[in-house]
Amino acid sequence: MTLAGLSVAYLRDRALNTGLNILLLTLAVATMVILVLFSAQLGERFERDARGIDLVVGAKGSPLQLILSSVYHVDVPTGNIPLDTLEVLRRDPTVAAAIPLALGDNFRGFRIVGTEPGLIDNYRGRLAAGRNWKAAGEAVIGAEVARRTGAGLGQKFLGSHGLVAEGGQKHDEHPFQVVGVLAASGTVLDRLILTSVDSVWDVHGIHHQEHEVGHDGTGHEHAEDHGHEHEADAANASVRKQTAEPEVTAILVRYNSALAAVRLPAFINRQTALQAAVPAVETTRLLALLGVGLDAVRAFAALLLLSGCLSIFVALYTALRQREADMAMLRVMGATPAAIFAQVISEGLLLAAAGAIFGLLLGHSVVAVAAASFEQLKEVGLNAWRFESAEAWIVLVTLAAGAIAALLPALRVFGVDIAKTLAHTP
Amino acid sequence: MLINAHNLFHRIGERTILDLPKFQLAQGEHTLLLGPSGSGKTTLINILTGLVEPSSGDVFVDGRSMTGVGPAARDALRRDKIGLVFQTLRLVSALTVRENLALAQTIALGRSDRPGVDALIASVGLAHRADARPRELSQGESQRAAIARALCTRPALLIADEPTSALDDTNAQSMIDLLLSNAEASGSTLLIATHDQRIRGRFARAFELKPLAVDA
Repeated sequence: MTLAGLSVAYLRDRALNTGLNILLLTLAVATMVILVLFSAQLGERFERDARGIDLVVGAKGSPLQLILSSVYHVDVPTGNIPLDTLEVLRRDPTVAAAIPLALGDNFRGFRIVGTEPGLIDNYRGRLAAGRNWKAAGEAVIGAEVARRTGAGLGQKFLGSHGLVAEGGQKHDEHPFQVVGVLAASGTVLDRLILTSVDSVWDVHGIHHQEHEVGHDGTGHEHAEDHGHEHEADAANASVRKQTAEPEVTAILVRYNSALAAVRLPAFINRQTALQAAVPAVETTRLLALLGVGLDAVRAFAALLLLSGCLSIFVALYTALRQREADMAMLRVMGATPAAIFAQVISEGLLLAAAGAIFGLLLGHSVVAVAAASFEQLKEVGLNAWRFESAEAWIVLVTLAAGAIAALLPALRVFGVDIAKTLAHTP
Repeated sequence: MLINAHNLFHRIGERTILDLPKFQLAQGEHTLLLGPSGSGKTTLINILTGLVEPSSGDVFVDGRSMTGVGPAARDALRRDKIGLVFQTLRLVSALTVRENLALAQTIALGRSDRPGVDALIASVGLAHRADARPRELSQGESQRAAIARALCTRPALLIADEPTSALDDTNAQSMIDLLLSNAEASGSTLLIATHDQRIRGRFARAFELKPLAVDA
């Protein structure tokens, strides 16, 4: 039995009180942990997913929505834009790269994106298995898609209409086949199913053959593969006639020169159907909007921590009033005032440590449950079991708070007069 | 000499509490400290054990000075040499009897000795109560536990203040038996302050404090 053991014994002796103290601290720490996880991972995601994308060109509407839907793949797109736009952009000498995106379908909540291999290169993604898509209906899936759906090479699947898992009509006639699986890159790629723009058109019955002439030699590898596809589907031709012209949802643009930043957005925005949105600007705006909310939660967490501290203070203060005889007894046994002081501080520290540990567990568990239960959070790609360095600070602050809360009660130790206590103890 | 005290004088405000030219206690000479209430028995014990610094005079315990050395040195000397049993203050409330003894050993010796603790608890007749908390013990049981707690560090000097006054005749006698036999076993010298006439006959030596004359 040591003085530290004595601290545990005292805490156990007033178990209910101890439990409540720990609960308050746990809630405070959990709130802070959740806050840290969300803001850190969101901020980092925002930054990483927008890497290499200077401008997004899409249909008119909210620029924030355009960025969210085509860079982060969390919102619905603003609409479609003519495929010609891609050609216009590619002819522009100030544009280093223009990557088309065709959205509209999902497989179990993971978005099927019709695009070009340039998208993978942009995120420095690489294949963990298989190869890139070539023929129509071939798809490459992100690491997380593979993990969550269990799909591997050769797996066939049907896309569903819409961008979320629920409802949505299945596209029975156009199954996709997995030909490649990407290695985890920690970017939005992990959660995407990539295929050619043509495959997406096929699924939606968009006639694109006549259009191929228009963008031949622009890096599309599908031209030959489509001949037989269309013969097989000839019966559906009438249906196709009713459908729209080839369009894409958005185009991701990387500049070649700084001049583009000045000229290109203004040029795009002058087109009646188009708008240009800058990811950096929109994410800054979004984080500023979120920031107000985050500050409110932060203030709430601070309040919780303060009440946790106060509860430790009150608990120790009252406990030590009742323990004057015990403290005198410890002195009689030969414990120095400094040792007893340290013992009382250690009670505060133990409470804080328990609160910190349970708070970390609770915070991460809440994020894990939330990420598993809410589609929106799944789309953000929240990783509940990643630890942020800020959490070390939370633990330190909590421990310091516990020690400070114990400080004032502990100072009573130095005022204990054994002889007087002896005389007054009944 | 285990205790060697000279010219002890203590006053609180204008009131003289203790005025004792000489007090000595030799190794192995179990002694009763007698005197009516107000004669300064408790004050003397507090001074001998370093809980109170006298207004003047010096105390040596086993050759080391207890006076004029500062509270930390008094704590250390008490920890090294003295076991204390009080009438009221007996055990740390949150710990079981066994844990109390183990803690006392850890504080005084830096380690605890489980078989020794259990043997001592058995010798005061509390083997079946070793895992009980102080509040679950009867008066007699907790007094016996306090004796075991004071003895478990094998102190050179065991000082008990009114160890029997709360007990009935039978228990008072067995308490003295216990003190004597256990002090013998751990090589401690007993100094027992009491006004309890029932135990007078059990000790060869007694030191009587005279009540002080009312100050002029």
